[in-house]
Amino acid sequence: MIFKIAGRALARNTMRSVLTMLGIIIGVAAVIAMVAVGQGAKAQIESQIASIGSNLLMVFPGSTTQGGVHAGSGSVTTLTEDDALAIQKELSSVRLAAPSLRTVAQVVSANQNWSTGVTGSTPDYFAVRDWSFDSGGSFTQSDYDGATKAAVIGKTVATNLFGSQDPIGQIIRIQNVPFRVVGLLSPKGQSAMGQDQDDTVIIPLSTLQKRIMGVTYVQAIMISANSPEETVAAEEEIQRLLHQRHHIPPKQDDDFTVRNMTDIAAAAEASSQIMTLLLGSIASVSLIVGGIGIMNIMLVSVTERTREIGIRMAVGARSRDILLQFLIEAVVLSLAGGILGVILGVASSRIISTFVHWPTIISLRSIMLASVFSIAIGVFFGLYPARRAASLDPIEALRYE
Amino acid sequence: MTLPLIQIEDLWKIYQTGEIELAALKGVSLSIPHGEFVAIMGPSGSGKSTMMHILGCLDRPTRGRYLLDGVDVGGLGPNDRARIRNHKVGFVFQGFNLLHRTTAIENVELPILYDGLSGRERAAKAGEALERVGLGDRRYHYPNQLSGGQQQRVAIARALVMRPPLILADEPTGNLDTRTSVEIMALFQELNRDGITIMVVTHEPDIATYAARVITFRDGTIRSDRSVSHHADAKEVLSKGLLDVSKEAEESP
Repeated sequence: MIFKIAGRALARNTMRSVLTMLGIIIGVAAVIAMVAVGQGAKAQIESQIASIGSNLLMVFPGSTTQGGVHAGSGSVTTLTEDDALAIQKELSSVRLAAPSLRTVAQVVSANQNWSTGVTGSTPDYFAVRDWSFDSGGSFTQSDYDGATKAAVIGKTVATNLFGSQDPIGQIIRIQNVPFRVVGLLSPKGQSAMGQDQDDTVIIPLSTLQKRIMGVTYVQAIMISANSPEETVAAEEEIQRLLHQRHHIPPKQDDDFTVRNMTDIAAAAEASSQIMTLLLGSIASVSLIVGGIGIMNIMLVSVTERTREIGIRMAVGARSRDILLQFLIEAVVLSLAGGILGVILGVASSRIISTFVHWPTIISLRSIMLASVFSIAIGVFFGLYPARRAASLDPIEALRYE
Repeated sequence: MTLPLIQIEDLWKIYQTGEIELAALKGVSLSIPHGEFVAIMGPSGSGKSTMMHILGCLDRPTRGRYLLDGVDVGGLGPNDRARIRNHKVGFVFQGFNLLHRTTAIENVELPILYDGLSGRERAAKAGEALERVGLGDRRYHYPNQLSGGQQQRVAIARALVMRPPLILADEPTGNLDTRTSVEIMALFQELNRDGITIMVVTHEPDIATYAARVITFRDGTIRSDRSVSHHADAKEVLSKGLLDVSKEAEESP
């Protein structure tokens, strides 16, 4: 009944009620849409980071200094395949370690050619990077031991060289050396840095070192720790082991660097979290502005309806009844605005993902939060006008013109 | 019934505006038994409005005792006074004071609403009250679709819907033409015959003639208090065409 009274009072001034609600509608819609954009960005970053590999650590060669000149990272060639083997065998926190070496080369099929990155590694490489196969499989340990000419190719390379044809069993030439395609990787899409991860050819490290590049070092070791919790321990163990193996005395610069990708992932996630929070709080400001709009209109309404308040008091309404009536009017306004705002927010999130192609995730939590918040705003900003109405003197109110 | 409906002893009302004290009522004592029809007269500023507000529990006396239906209401808090207004007193105002854009029946339902009755009971009681004032067929009309007399009838229906022992009317005919005024007085007399105590504040001596007792206020005290043995019967006046200005017929809505 009391809601009916409020509804009727608001319906009497439809235009004004709608305009008042608009503040809340926009506020709630903004919160929901902004949080959806933020959450979408976060999810995208997470999936990109997951595509690098799980519990991943990377060891890169360090820099050399000759006569005071820093040659930059990667300029030393002290990192070897044996380092990778030692890391995998000797360290308890490490599940797998795959050495890798990379070059850019022209890859030629029967009637197409494509310039791409060629990576040499061990069969463990695919496990370290959580990479599965669309068809075929990895080259084997014996391929690796025998420096066989077997190649695994990414989706982009397959499309450019073979179109829709099945690449398995086909021959490709890398710097005139023929390789048989044994596996097609499932697509991973863009990396966090925007590179096409599927534009790649992976061959046994031994083959790349001996037949193509003529080197013995490796450029990186990719390491998968046993669990996310063990990445920090693994980092320390790797450092200690490599110090030992490379005979680096204390206080001297390392000739390698260990990077914990989990840390990078956590940092990226944290920054996207902050962005969501920031967007959400900016949107919340508009919600508060909407609340002030409600207070404004309720104050006008109380003044306008002074006589009505007097009549109600004369026929037996207690202050509490009047307070409740105006409070409920404010809450009905803000709640109705909240519901419409949720609808508008969800709709605009959809529009953003359809037309601007930003990923958006509408979380139930942000909808609930916005709804509860809008009710709270109704109560908070409705209380003052309602108290004002309830504290009116009935005689004065009845005399009011 | 030995106990009077209204018992007032040495009632004072003093308004304090800054340094200046203004006494609106200066020690009024009054006793009104159940079933009386009282007219309160007096010039503006004589304290009769203040008297009505205190009698209706809209205001509190500064000093003195006020017993309504045996209850000392002078010292009650705001919530208890609201309850007294709801149950014991019905108000009728000069300007009708109906909620606009609200139907007649909803206006009449208003006091019941604050008593917390269910919707169906409310509608039944309100409908009954409207029948009683002769507006049973105007339930869903809005105030602006009704004539002044009809609006005042709706207000009277609202005043009596809780079956209070007392109806307080503040210049109830002030906005009405003569014929309609007499019709309203006829309605009050009818309600009075059913046992409701009626108090009418008025400027017009004509209107006071329908009351059985006339109390005149001046400067915050009662100047005269007289019973009228042969007061006018409004119904008779209407049926015998005793009105000299009978051309002023009620406008049809």
